[in-house]
Amino acid sequence: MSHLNRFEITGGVTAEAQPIVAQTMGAPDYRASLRGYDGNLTIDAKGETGQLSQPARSHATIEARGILDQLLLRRAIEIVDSFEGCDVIDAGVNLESLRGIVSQLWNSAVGSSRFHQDILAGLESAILSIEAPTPGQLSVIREALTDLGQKLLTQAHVEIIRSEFVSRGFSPLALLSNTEAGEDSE
Amino acid sequence: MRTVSEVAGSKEGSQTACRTVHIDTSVQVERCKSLRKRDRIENALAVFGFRSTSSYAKLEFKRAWLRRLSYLYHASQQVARDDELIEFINDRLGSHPGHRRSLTTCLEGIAAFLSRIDESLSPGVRLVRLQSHIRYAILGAYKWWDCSVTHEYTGTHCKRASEQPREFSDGRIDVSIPNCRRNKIECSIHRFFKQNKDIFIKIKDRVIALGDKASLELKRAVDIIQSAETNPEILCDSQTCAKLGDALIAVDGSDMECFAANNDKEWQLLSEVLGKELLNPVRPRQDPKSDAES
Repeated sequence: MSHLNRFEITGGVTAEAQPIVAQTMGAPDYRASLRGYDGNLTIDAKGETGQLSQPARSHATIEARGILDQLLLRRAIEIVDSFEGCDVIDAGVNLESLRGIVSQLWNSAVGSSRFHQDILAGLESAILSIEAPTPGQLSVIREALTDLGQKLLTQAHVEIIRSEFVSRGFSPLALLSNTEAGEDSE
Repeated sequence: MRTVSEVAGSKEGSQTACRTVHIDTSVQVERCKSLRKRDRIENALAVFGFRSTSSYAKLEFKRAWLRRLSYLYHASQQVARDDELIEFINDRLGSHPGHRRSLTTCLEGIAAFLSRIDESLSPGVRLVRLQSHIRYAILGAYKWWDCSVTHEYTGTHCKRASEQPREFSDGRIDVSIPNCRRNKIECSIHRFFKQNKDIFIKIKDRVIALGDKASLELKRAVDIIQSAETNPEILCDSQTCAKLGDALIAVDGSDMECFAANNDKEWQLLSEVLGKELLNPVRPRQDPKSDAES
């Protein structure tokens, strides 16, 4: 992982925001029934902290600590909750505000864990690829924001959110896709 | 993944009279590579209640798209700022003609990403953001693939296709496709060939009949089919099976009514041999009026 994670933290993030690999075993994993989860892998934020983690831990139960700008997150959830019953103009305005907030969240995400960054990437990819979110899409956007508000996240959180975004019609590859018609593939 | 009969019995199936389509890699790549084309493709595929693909198409998707994104991810970890990334990739891939496609894919990915983000963040923050998006895309691609079709045929039981991209504990992403060898067979491609030998021979005969008009890829496939007729196990080698790619995908979906592909040179012939309708959902639909005028 880039050294930038440690040295280019901006946006007034406190020391608490530094990524810390939680070493606690047996952390509650309420999403253990995750479909398609590969339990043989381990992942943590060691690349960001330079710490060595314990090997052979379950993928889903390894936690990474981080914290994003809570004020921005609260504001984002307020906006998501305002979509209900709004007209096309309001929806466009809300979506643009949401995009701005999510963009600014990257300032604190840089000093946060990889799990926080992955969920934020999924969230941003989703809100940049829609014009008018459906209630189902808003539901998973809200869930992602709620997860981002947590200090401790696991790979299971990331997998669940990714899975929900995809099943709601969001392609994880959307942000790397051309908006213009490009060269045909073979 | 559902069967045709399950889909036919559902609301979705009855609404579309359960028309069936088998989708090639070329269309799957375009579905996630170009937003403008994606909408066109989704509209074209929407009339099909049952949309299948082949696990071998997934292998090609992994090779053509995910591995290049993985290279981009790796490159992004070698630089300190997002604006250094293009130069880094150009330096390593730009001078080699064999890397042209990889270079194009990487640059397109970066350009697409940069076109949709604001400039208010620092270059370092933007780099982490790009890395996160690439990681999210690669690790979510198989999930997307599964959701993008109703069913995936696995006639060849391709082991390499079944290996999902994964992330190591040090943050590296594994999208490698190790070589397969005949002395350690891990798939069923040879059995698949034997079961469908008649169809492969028909394909071979049609390509031979086409002569010089046949594409280079089809001519290569003919050589492979001829060799496999006497010894199907020669297919159990990465370099060999790759030369039969489109034919494998087509035969795998031979139960479907229609093929969807973006490489007409190969798929027109394959559709004819297998008696299928060919749909190219990537190409803009011709306006009959403008045709008449021209």
